[in-house]
Amino acid sequence: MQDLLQQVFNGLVVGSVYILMAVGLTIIFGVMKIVNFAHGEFYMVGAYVAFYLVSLAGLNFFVALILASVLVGLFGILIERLINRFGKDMAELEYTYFTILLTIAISLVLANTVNVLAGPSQHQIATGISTAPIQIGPVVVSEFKLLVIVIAFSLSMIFGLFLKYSKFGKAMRATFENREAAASVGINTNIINMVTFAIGAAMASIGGILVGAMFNIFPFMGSQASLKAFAVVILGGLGSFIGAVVGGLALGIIESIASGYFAVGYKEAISFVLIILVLVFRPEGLAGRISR
Amino acid sequence: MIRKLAVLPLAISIILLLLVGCGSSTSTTSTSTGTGQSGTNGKIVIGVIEVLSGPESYDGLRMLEAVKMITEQVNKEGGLLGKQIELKIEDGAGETATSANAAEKLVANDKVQALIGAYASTATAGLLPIVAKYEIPLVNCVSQDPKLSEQGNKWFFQGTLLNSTIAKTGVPEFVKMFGIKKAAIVVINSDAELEYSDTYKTFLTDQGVAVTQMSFPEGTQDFSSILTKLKSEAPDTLFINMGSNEGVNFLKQLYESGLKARVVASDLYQQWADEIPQAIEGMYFAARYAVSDPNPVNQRFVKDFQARTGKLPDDSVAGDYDSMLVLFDAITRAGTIEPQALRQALLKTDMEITRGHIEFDAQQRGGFDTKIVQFKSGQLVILKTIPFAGV
Repeated sequence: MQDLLQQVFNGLVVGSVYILMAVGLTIIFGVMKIVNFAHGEFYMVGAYVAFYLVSLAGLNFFVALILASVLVGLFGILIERLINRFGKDMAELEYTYFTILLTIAISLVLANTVNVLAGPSQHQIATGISTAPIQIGPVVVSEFKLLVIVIAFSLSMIFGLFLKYSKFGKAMRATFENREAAASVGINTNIINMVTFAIGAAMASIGGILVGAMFNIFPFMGSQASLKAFAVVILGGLGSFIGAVVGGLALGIIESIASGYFAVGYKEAISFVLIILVLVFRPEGLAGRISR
Repeated sequence: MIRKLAVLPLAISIILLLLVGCGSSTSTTSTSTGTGQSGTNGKIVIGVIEVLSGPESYDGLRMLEAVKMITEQVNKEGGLLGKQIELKIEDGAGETATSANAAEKLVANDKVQALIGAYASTATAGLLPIVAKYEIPLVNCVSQDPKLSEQGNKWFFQGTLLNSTIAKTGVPEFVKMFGIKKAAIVVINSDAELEYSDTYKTFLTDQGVAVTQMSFPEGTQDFSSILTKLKSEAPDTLFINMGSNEGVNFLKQLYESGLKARVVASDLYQQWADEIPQAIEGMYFAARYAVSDPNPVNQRFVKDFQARTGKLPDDSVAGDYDSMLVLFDAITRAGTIEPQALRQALLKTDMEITRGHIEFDAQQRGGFDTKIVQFKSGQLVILKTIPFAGV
């Protein structure tokens, strides 16, 4: 029982990072209908920016976290403007192919650019936060791991409330439901797109920074992260914010328990088998909606 | 519309091409420590295959510095056989196919006369058919898998303590020192390392120790599940067998987990001492190499390497340096760079390297004393030296 509780806690930590990645990816898809294959690179670039802000500029970890996510958010706006500039007049299918190819290309360019500029060696982001073990009942935690969970849940909650209750959040949801109708009632969908991409990129970058502090960073870390983000989004339901949260937690905990009770090498296989099973019985995902 | 569509992908393709070009030019470096000509024109040309990209490049880049350092020193003293030494360097990326392609290029195109490389045993395995095909000596004092020399490739010289030898000498010593009753082995999931760990397990079981083994895939960053399992197993000693990057993550998380167990590995990766000294305090090693080894060849090497890079070397770095020492010694004794004569000279190697005394046996395997060391207050302290008694 003690082991199970520990594995669940471990899964919560990993799941928290998955939530940050998946929320960003799902809102970009939901609002803009873009499958963003460069999402993992926002995660990676955020981690590297934070690493250099801490190690070279000597900034405090939290200041670096905020600054890096803002910078990556602004970078996200740049990508969105690029997509808008070249893709806005395209027919739907053409637009889909275009955004897929473009985001794959951006992903390759970013990963290889960082590899050339920063070098292939791995680094860890220093936080100044204690990593000493803390015993809470049967579970061993650390300050930083608790912080990861707090950050992920807080941001998710803030964003969820923003989406539900704020004027801008309602405008985002309207655009998500029906872009043309939203535009026809005066919602500036250009602004919606820009802000959506910025938020998505920023959240992914926060995930990367937290992982970079817990483990390490390297130029090609984004590809694995992208894969997990897609898995969570598919599990939770494409375009569903609640699905991204539930899916992220579910995947993190399932992987942790699978590693603990079977073998670490099987965790991906077990997770993906479960995702396939969910999709067989519920193709729209755990919290997605069936399109009419 | 077509023009609009074409412009952006074209621009991105150009950027990608430039990046690939930049990437290639940094990974395929022809470093002349002589007067800048390629080929064998008045020079001794040695091929070097290192890991210059990917996670293991932390080690590979430092190993290359050691190779360049000794080459520059020898060239400054007049070279070998009155000729300057030229290095031709390729990135094997730590992968079998990439290393094999690198070797093929070095031998067929660059006409190297001997090779060293390629770090991981799986990568080195890719070189063996190439050196057999072209009959070029390959000296490797780094790769530890016995299977490499078991193939009987007469052009391959494996000058390091094999995994099996370390297990045979180290395990009984640790059991005796600590009275180990219950051990756990945590190992990276590769054929060579799993086999190595099975050897450890066999020796431990023969000594009456209860053993659990856990493996994980390469690239694993999150070890929380393994650590949770280890906590419930509660071993008194933990044997670990993994690469430097995985080790950084595992040992850091082990330290953070509060799990109290004695930790034993084979060699210390300098990356661990640089990045996580607190997490490895008190850790034991059945080591091939120790920076504090008073042997004069080692002390000169450590001093020169530290002056050049500002960092201390570890076993991998010493290994490549030793590969060059062995090769240079053989070239000097052979009096020629002709492959057959060089091979005969290598067979008669009898010299001191950074890690002790080395000679090659009939299977072209060399070895030296095992050092039982402990990492204490930032230093590797040699507790005991176990004489080499053959493979």
